[in-house]
Amino acid sequence: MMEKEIYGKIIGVNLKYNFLMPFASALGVLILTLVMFNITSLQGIEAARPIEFLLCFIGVTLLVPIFLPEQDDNIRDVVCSKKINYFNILLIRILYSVAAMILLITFFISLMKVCESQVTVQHLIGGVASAWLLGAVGFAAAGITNNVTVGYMAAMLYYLANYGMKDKVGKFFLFPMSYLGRFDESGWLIFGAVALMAITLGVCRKRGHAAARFKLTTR
Amino acid sequence: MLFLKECKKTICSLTFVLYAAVIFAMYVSQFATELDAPIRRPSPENSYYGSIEKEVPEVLMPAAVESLISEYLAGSYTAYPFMFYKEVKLKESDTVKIAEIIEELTDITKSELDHFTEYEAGGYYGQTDENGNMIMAYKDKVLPEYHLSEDISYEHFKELMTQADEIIGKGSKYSEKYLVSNFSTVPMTYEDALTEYEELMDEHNFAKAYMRLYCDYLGIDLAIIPIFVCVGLWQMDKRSRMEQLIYSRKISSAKLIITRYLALVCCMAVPVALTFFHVMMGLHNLYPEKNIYFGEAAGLVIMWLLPSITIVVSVGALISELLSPLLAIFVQGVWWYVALGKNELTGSITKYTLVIRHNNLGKTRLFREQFHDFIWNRTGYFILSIILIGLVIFVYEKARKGNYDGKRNLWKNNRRKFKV
Repeated sequence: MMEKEIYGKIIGVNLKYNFLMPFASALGVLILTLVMFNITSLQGIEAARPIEFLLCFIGVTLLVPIFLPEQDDNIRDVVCSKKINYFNILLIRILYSVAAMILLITFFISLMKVCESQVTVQHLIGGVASAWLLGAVGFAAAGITNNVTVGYMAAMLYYLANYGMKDKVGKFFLFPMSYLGRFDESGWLIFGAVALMAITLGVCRKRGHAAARFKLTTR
Repeated sequence: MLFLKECKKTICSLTFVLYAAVIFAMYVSQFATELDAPIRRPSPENSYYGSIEKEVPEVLMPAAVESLISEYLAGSYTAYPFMFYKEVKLKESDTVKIAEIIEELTDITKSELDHFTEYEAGGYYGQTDENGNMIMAYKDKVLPEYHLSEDISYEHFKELMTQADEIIGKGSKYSEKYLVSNFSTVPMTYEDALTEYEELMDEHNFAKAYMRLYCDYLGIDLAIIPIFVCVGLWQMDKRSRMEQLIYSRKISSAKLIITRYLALVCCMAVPVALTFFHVMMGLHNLYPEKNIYFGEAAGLVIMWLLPSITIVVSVGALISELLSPLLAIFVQGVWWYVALGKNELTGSITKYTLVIRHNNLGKTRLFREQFHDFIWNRTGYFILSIILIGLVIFVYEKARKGNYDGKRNLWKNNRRKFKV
């Protein structure tokens, strides 16, 4: 089979079996945000609140379950035994999850715009940045500990820490728009998210090599 | 023996270590500072004793009317239907109704309101000084001139406020619940401060007052964090491929589930108990002359926090067993978020809320007024958690006999039964 076809098949199978539940949860978060927050005729800081306080959980619902299929050791063994590197499969999952996250947040911001809220591109970038960083914290914890539950827990604890400590968190504060009125700190959040995911992938890759070596030596 | 094994499994899990760290961090960062200095008796020489929410019609009525006129002119009304801020825009027909209420309360008509163009919301705003630095400045509110109607009784005024709240859509500043706290905060007198102090320092109450604040902080964490420990442990059998092996053992499902459940609850109570003893020691050092009623304080903590742990663990176990562990986290997360969002810091104890808040060392009287709801709430959740654990045993027994294997096979099994 051509490599292109193989990757096509991998994407198809992952979307079918590993993406629908996280996507449904992300939709649930979006609907909950609509129920709990008003999105009509908001401006500036007020408009940032629903995006930063609740919508950011979309990142958690989409990025943490990337490691979910391999929580079952049987699936992990099958995936690791294949020719295609597990690292590449993770990259594919990250790409479509991040794309879905951006899509859902864009949809929500557009909805706010339709409801006459004064939202700008900065709200969109800020929302994506908060969701991405929160999701990346969970992703890193899940990947490094090889336990998705720890991933969800870490994301929740990071959210609580931000809620309690406010701007003492520093550059990686999740709510800079709502609490500080700063719309220009998204760069740090995105940098933090990308760095965390890169480190996690690095750890996973190293672990994958170690596992492969272990298999070779035990054969 | 099995109980100890389950306890060991729980304590050695990463989720439990994180759970314990969160409990200690919450305790140290939020509550421990309360034990730094004793509460001082108010002195008659003090010029300020803080403020108190007191229903004083002469203060409340003008403040509420001013706010209603201001919001009418701004064209938007603040409401907190889920505790979160909502800016409500009214339809023309509803705007007319609000204008009618204002007209009844004052001598100002709708047409006068609509033609007033100099309205300014007032408040603090940012501006740059001559050096280009950002400074905060204050601007007074600009409203049309009006006079409060003298014929209006306080009872009728409250009826009109309730009408306004219904038009805005509940949870507005004019709702019965928020009216006093929003518009009738008055400075405390020496007598008020002394009464509150004496209520607080009453022999039987003073340790409980500290415990209320302690439970308030820890209750926030205990309504969500135990779900991770529970879910992590509950899926351990599956992850370590021990599920089928355990199914085939002699032990009854009831014994296995109850032991596991008790182990989880007991282990999660340990960090809470440690911090509780630390509070007790702190209070003893802080007030050496006082008699601390340990049993009453412990009773309050158990009554407040134990149902939080049991209900979260029950929900986690049931959803994990019935559907999926991750769904359990999602459901509990949503429940916690909504419950926390609907609560006020103090004084919003209801029969059904998951997270009980009383973020105040004082306000003893308010807590006593809500004590009936508190007892109802905690007992209700405790009973519910026992029922849910009964359901877990039922589902586990079904799974063990091969009649239920998670959500994917539910339909298949039903269909098979139907054919038979």
